[in-house]
Amino acid sequence: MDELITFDKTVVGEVWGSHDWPVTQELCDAWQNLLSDETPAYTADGKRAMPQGLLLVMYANCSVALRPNRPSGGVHAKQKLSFGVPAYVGDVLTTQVKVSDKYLKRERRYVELETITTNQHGEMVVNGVRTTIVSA
Amino acid sequence: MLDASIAPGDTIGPVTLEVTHALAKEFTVISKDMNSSHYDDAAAQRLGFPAAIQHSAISSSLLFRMLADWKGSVLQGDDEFECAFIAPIFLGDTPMARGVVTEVTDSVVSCDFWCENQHGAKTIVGKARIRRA
Repeated sequence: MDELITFDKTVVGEVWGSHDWPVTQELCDAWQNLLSDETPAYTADGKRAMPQGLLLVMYANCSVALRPNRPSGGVHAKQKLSFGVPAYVGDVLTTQVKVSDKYLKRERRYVELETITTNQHGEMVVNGVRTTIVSA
Repeated sequence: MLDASIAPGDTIGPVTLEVTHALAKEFTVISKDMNSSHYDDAAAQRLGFPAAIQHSAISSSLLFRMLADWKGSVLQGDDEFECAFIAPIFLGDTPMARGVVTEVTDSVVSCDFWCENQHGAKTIVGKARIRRA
Protein backbone atom coordinates (compact mmCIF):
# COMPACT_ATOMS: atom_id res chain seq x y z
CA MET A 1 0.00 0.00 0.00
CA ASP A 2 1.28 3.49 -0.87
CA GLU A 3 2.39 5.76 1.93
CA LEU A 4 -0.29 8.19 3.17
CA ILE A 5 0.25 11.73 1.84
CA THR A 6 -0.23 13.79 4.97
CA PHE A 7 0.00 17.57 5.33
CA ASP A 8 3.71 17.33 6.12
CA LYS A 9 4.33 15.27 2.99
CA THR A 10 2.29 17.53 0.71
CA VAL A 11 4.66 19.42 -1.60
CA VAL A 12 3.73 22.96 -2.65
CA GLY A 13 4.22 23.37 -6.39
CA GLU A 14 3.81 19.69 -7.15
CA VAL A 15 1.56 18.89 -10.10
CA TRP A 16 -0.52 15.82 -9.28
CA GLY A 17 -1.35 15.24 -12.94
CA SER A 18 -4.59 15.44 -14.86
CA HIS A 19 -7.80 13.46 -14.85
CA ASP A 20 -10.50 13.03 -17.49
CA TRP A 21 -14.12 13.28 -16.39
CA PRO A 22 -16.94 12.68 -18.90
CA VAL A 23 -20.10 14.78 -18.65
CA THR A 24 -22.78 12.21 -19.41
CA GLN A 25 -26.50 12.66 -19.84
CA GLU A 26 -27.04 9.95 -17.22
CA LEU A 27 -25.00 11.88 -14.67
CA CYS A 28 -26.77 15.19 -15.35
CA ASP A 29 -30.18 13.48 -15.28
CA ALA A 30 -29.37 11.78 -11.97
CA TRP A 31 -28.05 15.02 -10.48
CA GLN A 32 -31.06 17.09 -11.49
CA ASN A 33 -33.48 14.39 -10.34
CA LEU A 34 -31.69 14.11 -7.02
CA LEU A 35 -31.98 17.85 -6.39
CA SER A 36 -35.35 18.37 -8.10
CA ASP A 37 -33.53 20.89 -10.28
CA GLU A 38 -35.49 21.86 -13.38
CA THR A 39 -33.66 25.10 -14.12
CA PRO A 40 -34.39 26.13 -17.74
CA ALA A 41 -31.13 28.09 -17.78
CA TYR A 42 -29.21 24.86 -18.44
CA THR A 43 -30.56 24.79 -21.98
CA ALA A 44 -30.54 28.55 -22.59
CA ASP A 45 -28.27 28.36 -25.63
CA GLY A 46 -29.94 25.35 -27.23
CA LYS A 47 -27.45 22.82 -25.83
CA ARG A 48 -27.61 21.13 -22.43
CA ALA A 49 -25.12 22.63 -20.01
CA MET A 50 -23.88 20.69 -17.00
CA PRO A 51 -25.34 21.87 -13.67
CA GLN A 52 -22.38 23.57 -12.01
CA GLY A 53 -22.86 21.98 -8.62
CA LEU A 54 -21.35 18.93 -10.28
CA LEU A 55 -18.02 20.76 -10.51
CA LEU A 56 -17.43 20.04 -6.83
CA VAL A 57 -18.14 16.37 -7.42
CA MET A 58 -15.69 16.46 -10.32
CA TYR A 59 -12.98 18.04 -8.18
CA ALA A 60 -13.46 15.45 -5.46
CA ASN A 61 -13.32 12.63 -8.04
CA CYS A 62 -10.13 14.11 -9.54
CA SER A 63 -8.40 14.39 -6.18
CA VAL A 64 -9.23 10.79 -5.29
CA ALA A 65 -8.14 9.52 -8.72
CA LEU A 66 -4.84 11.41 -8.69
CA ARG A 67 -3.98 10.96 -5.01
CA PRO A 68 -5.98 8.05 -3.56
CA ASN A 69 -3.63 7.78 -0.62
CA ARG A 70 -4.67 11.02 1.09
CA PRO A 71 -6.06 10.97 4.64
CA SER A 72 -9.85 10.64 4.83
CA GLY A 73 -12.02 13.11 6.71
CA GLY A 74 -11.00 16.33 4.94
CA VAL A 75 -13.30 19.35 5.10
CA HIS A 76 -13.92 21.63 2.11
CA ALA A 77 -13.25 25.13 3.43
CA LYS A 78 -13.19 27.51 0.46
CA GLN A 79 -13.68 27.48 -3.30
CA LYS A 80 -12.82 30.04 -5.97
CA LEU A 81 -13.90 29.62 -9.58
CA SER A 82 -13.28 31.58 -12.75
CA PHE A 83 -15.38 30.44 -15.69
CA GLY A 84 -14.71 30.08 -19.40
CA VAL A 85 -16.99 28.18 -21.76
CA PRO A 86 -19.83 26.07 -20.30
CA ALA A 87 -19.45 22.32 -19.92
CA TYR A 88 -22.04 20.48 -22.00
CA VAL A 89 -23.42 16.96 -21.97
CA GLY A 90 -21.08 14.90 -24.15
CA ASP A 91 -17.97 16.85 -23.18
CA VAL A 92 -14.95 15.25 -21.59
CA LEU A 93 -13.40 17.59 -19.03
CA THR A 94 -9.72 17.32 -18.26
CA THR A 95 -8.60 18.79 -14.96
CA GLN A 96 -4.99 19.43 -14.00
CA VAL A 97 -4.38 19.63 -10.26
CA LYS A 98 -1.43 21.39 -8.63
CA VAL A 99 -0.68 22.08 -4.96
CA SER A 100 -0.55 25.87 -4.79
CA ASP A 101 -0.14 26.36 -1.02
CA LYS A 102 -0.34 24.81 2.41
CA TYR A 103 -0.46 26.55 5.76
CA LEU A 104 -1.42 26.22 9.39
CA LYS A 105 -4.10 28.50 10.83
CA ARG A 106 -5.64 28.16 14.29
CA GLU A 107 -4.08 24.70 14.59
CA ARG A 108 -5.78 23.53 11.38
CA ARG A 109 -3.91 22.23 8.34
CA TYR A 110 -4.98 23.90 5.10
CA VAL A 111 -4.04 22.68 1.62
CA GLU A 112 -4.81 24.72 -1.50
CA LEU A 113 -5.19 22.98 -4.84
CA GLU A 114 -5.12 24.96 -8.08
CA THR A 115 -7.19 23.39 -10.83
CA ILE A 116 -7.37 24.07 -14.55
CA THR A 117 -10.23 22.39 -16.40
CA THR A 118 -10.49 22.26 -20.18
CA ASN A 119 -12.85 20.50 -22.56
CA GLN A 120 -11.96 18.10 -25.37
CA HIS A 121 -11.39 21.08 -27.69
CA GLY A 122 -8.79 22.57 -25.36
CA GLU A 123 -11.09 25.42 -24.32
CA MET A 124 -10.90 26.65 -20.73
CA VAL A 125 -14.05 25.63 -18.85
CA VAL A 126 -13.13 26.70 -15.33
CA ASN A 127 -10.08 27.55 -13.27
CA GLY A 128 -10.32 27.03 -9.56
CA VAL A 129 -8.66 27.16 -6.19
CA ARG A 130 -9.97 24.60 -3.72
CA THR A 131 -8.99 24.94 -0.06
CA THR A 132 -9.35 21.90 2.16
CA ILE A 133 -8.71 21.35 5.86
CA VAL A 134 -6.92 18.02 5.98
CA SER A 135 -7.21 15.62 8.89
CA ALA A 136 -3.56 14.56 9.10
CA MET B 1 -29.32 37.49 -19.70
CA LEU B 2 -29.47 39.79 -16.69
CA ASP B 3 -32.35 42.24 -16.60
CA ALA B 4 -31.39 45.76 -17.72
CA SER B 5 -33.13 47.28 -14.68
CA ILE B 6 -31.03 45.37 -12.17
CA ALA B 7 -29.86 47.52 -9.26
CA PRO B 8 -27.97 47.28 -5.97
CA GLY B 9 -30.20 45.89 -3.26
CA ASP B 10 -32.13 43.60 -5.60
CA THR B 11 -32.56 40.19 -4.03
CA ILE B 12 -31.69 36.84 -5.64
CA GLY B 13 -33.46 33.58 -4.86
CA PRO B 14 -34.35 31.95 -2.57
CA VAL B 15 -33.79 28.35 -3.58
CA THR B 16 -34.23 25.62 -1.01
CA LEU B 17 -33.84 21.87 -0.61
CA GLU B 18 -34.66 19.31 2.09
CA VAL B 19 -31.69 17.02 2.70
CA THR B 20 -33.36 13.68 3.29
CA HIS B 21 -31.71 10.37 4.08
CA ALA B 22 -32.68 9.09 0.61
CA LEU B 23 -31.07 12.12 -1.04
CA ALA B 24 -27.87 11.76 0.98
CA LYS B 25 -27.62 8.04 0.20
CA GLU B 26 -28.29 8.55 -3.51
CA PHE B 27 -25.69 11.33 -3.58
CA THR B 28 -23.00 8.85 -2.56
CA VAL B 29 -23.87 6.73 -5.60
CA ILE B 30 -23.82 9.66 -8.03
CA SER B 31 -20.70 11.24 -6.59
CA LYS B 32 -18.87 7.95 -5.94
CA ASP B 33 -18.07 9.42 -2.51
CA MET B 34 -18.83 6.50 -0.22
CA ASN B 35 -17.82 8.33 2.97
CA SER B 36 -20.44 7.05 5.42
CA SER B 37 -20.30 10.26 7.48
CA HIS B 38 -22.40 11.82 4.67
CA TYR B 39 -25.42 9.57 5.26
CA ASP B 40 -24.88 7.65 8.53
CA ASP B 41 -25.45 9.65 11.73
CA ALA B 42 -23.47 7.15 13.80
CA ALA B 43 -20.43 7.44 11.49
CA ALA B 44 -20.54 11.25 11.71
CA GLN B 45 -20.98 11.12 15.49
CA ARG B 46 -17.77 9.11 15.74
CA LEU B 47 -16.05 12.13 14.11
CA GLY B 48 -17.61 14.51 16.63
CA PHE B 49 -20.56 15.80 14.60
CA PRO B 50 -24.15 15.63 15.91
CA ALA B 51 -25.48 14.08 12.68
CA ALA B 52 -24.42 13.10 9.16
CA ILE B 53 -22.71 16.03 7.44
CA GLN B 54 -23.53 16.89 3.86
CA HIS B 55 -21.06 17.13 0.99
CA SER B 56 -20.21 20.68 -0.10
CA ALA B 57 -21.50 19.86 -3.59
CA ILE B 58 -25.08 19.54 -2.30
CA SER B 59 -25.30 22.89 -0.58
CA SER B 60 -23.27 24.73 -3.21
CA SER B 61 -25.52 23.27 -5.91
CA LEU B 62 -28.27 25.50 -4.54
CA LEU B 63 -26.07 28.53 -5.07
CA PHE B 64 -25.13 27.62 -8.65
CA ARG B 65 -28.77 26.87 -9.42
CA MET B 66 -29.89 30.17 -7.93
CA LEU B 67 -27.30 32.12 -9.92
CA ALA B 68 -28.16 30.28 -13.15
CA ASP B 69 -31.87 30.99 -12.62
CA TRP B 70 -31.11 34.64 -11.97
CA LYS B 71 -28.64 35.10 -14.82
CA GLY B 72 -30.57 32.96 -17.29
CA SER B 73 -27.58 30.75 -18.08
CA VAL B 74 -24.81 28.89 -16.29
CA LEU B 75 -21.80 30.91 -15.18
CA GLN B 76 -19.36 31.47 -18.06
CA GLY B 77 -17.29 34.03 -19.96
CA ASP B 78 -15.09 35.32 -17.12
CA ASP B 79 -17.84 35.12 -14.50
CA GLU B 80 -16.27 34.65 -11.07
CA PHE B 81 -17.51 32.84 -7.98
CA GLU B 82 -15.96 32.37 -4.57
CA CYS B 83 -17.30 31.02 -1.33
CA ALA B 84 -16.35 29.83 2.13
CA PHE B 85 -18.01 26.86 3.81
CA ILE B 86 -18.36 28.20 7.33
CA ALA B 87 -20.62 25.60 8.96
CA PRO B 88 -21.83 22.12 8.09
CA ILE B 89 -25.24 21.17 6.79
CA PHE B 90 -26.63 18.07 8.45
CA LEU B 91 -28.93 15.31 7.37
CA GLY B 92 -32.49 16.56 7.87
CA ASP B 93 -31.57 20.21 7.39
CA THR B 94 -33.33 22.42 4.86
CA PRO B 95 -30.67 24.73 3.43
CA MET B 96 -31.77 27.86 1.58
CA ALA B 97 -29.70 29.92 -0.86
CA ARG B 98 -30.19 33.67 -1.09
CA GLY B 99 -28.33 36.62 -2.57
CA VAL B 100 -28.31 40.37 -2.99
CA VAL B 101 -26.89 42.61 -5.71
CA THR B 102 -24.11 44.81 -4.34
CA GLU B 103 -22.81 46.74 -7.35
CA VAL B 104 -23.81 47.31 -10.97
CA THR B 105 -21.58 48.69 -13.70
CA ASP B 106 -21.92 48.70 -17.48
CA SER B 107 -19.95 45.46 -17.70
CA VAL B 108 -20.30 43.63 -14.38
CA VAL B 109 -22.96 42.87 -11.76
CA SER B 110 -21.57 41.92 -8.34
CA CYS B 111 -23.53 40.11 -5.70
CA ASP B 112 -23.15 38.59 -2.27
CA PHE B 113 -24.77 35.24 -1.65
CA TRP B 114 -25.15 32.82 1.18
CA CYS B 115 -26.72 29.58 2.22
CA GLU B 116 -28.49 29.31 5.55
CA ASN B 117 -30.07 26.44 7.44
CA GLN B 118 -33.65 26.25 8.70
CA HIS B 119 -32.61 28.09 11.87
CA GLY B 120 -31.29 31.06 9.86
CA ALA B 121 -27.63 30.27 10.57
CA LYS B 122 -25.33 30.86 7.60
CA THR B 123 -23.45 27.82 6.35
CA ILE B 124 -21.86 29.22 3.18
CA VAL B 125 -20.98 32.84 2.37
CA GLY B 126 -19.59 34.14 -0.88
CA LYS B 127 -19.71 36.56 -3.77
CA ALA B 128 -19.92 36.48 -7.53
CA ARG B 129 -19.06 38.82 -10.37
CA ILE B 130 -21.26 38.30 -13.39
CA ARG B 131 -20.32 39.76 -16.76
CA ARG B 132 -23.12 41.51 -18.59
CA ALA B 133 -23.56 40.19 -22.12
